[in-house]
Amino acid sequence: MTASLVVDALETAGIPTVVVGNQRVPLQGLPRVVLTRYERGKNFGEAGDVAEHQRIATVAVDLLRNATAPALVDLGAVTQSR
Amino acid sequence: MKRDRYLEQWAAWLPAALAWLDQEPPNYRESEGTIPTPQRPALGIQRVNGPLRVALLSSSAAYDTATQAPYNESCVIGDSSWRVFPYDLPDDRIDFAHEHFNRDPARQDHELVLPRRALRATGVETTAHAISWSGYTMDWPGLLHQTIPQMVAQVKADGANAALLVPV
Repeated sequence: MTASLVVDALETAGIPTVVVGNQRVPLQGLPRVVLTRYERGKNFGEAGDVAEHQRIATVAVDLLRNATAPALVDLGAVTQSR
Repeated sequence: MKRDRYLEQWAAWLPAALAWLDQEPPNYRESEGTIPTPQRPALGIQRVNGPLRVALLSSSAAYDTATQAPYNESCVIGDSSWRVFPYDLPDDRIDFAHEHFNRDPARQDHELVLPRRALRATGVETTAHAISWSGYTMDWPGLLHQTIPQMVAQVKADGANAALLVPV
């Protein structure tokens, strides 16, 4: 829940944000969200899975670069390794 | 003196929250679910012109074990403080003081909640520091009036034009 407060302050200060989280409800309404389906404490996937970490980071950075409207990208459908 | 309406709402909520948190086990659902929320700004989409310089912020309660105190995990309403440390601080200098998630995987691989290498591997420029706070805090007045303004000031001082947040 506290992340949305930080997002609000950063965006208000002119800093665009992207959030990579795994709980949909507290992140709804934020400008850019990448939703992963790993359990709490594993936002970027399993330990040692460098390719997955980079895939998620790339999606997040792409949102920062290209989003023209509020966007939530749900990676759950393709995140099946857990 | 200008009245702080949010602080007053929070103070009125706190006694009931403390009673819920005093239960065994603590009733986080009721306490977190009823915390007064401040009025949120209407956020649109801001575009970044030019190359990205990205700040990394994580609510994993990460801290530098050599130079910083851990967060207070024994406080029933959490800890609203924050930490900043060099982006390239060695992994063995970082720990996570947050009891509300299983820290074992993150301790094995910090990238899970503090994706420093993964972010840099995307080709963006990163700031000189990483920033962390504890996602478990019910001291929202402290968070809103002190911690968050300081973190935003750090992000701006680091020259970031965008931020990646990892809430845990």
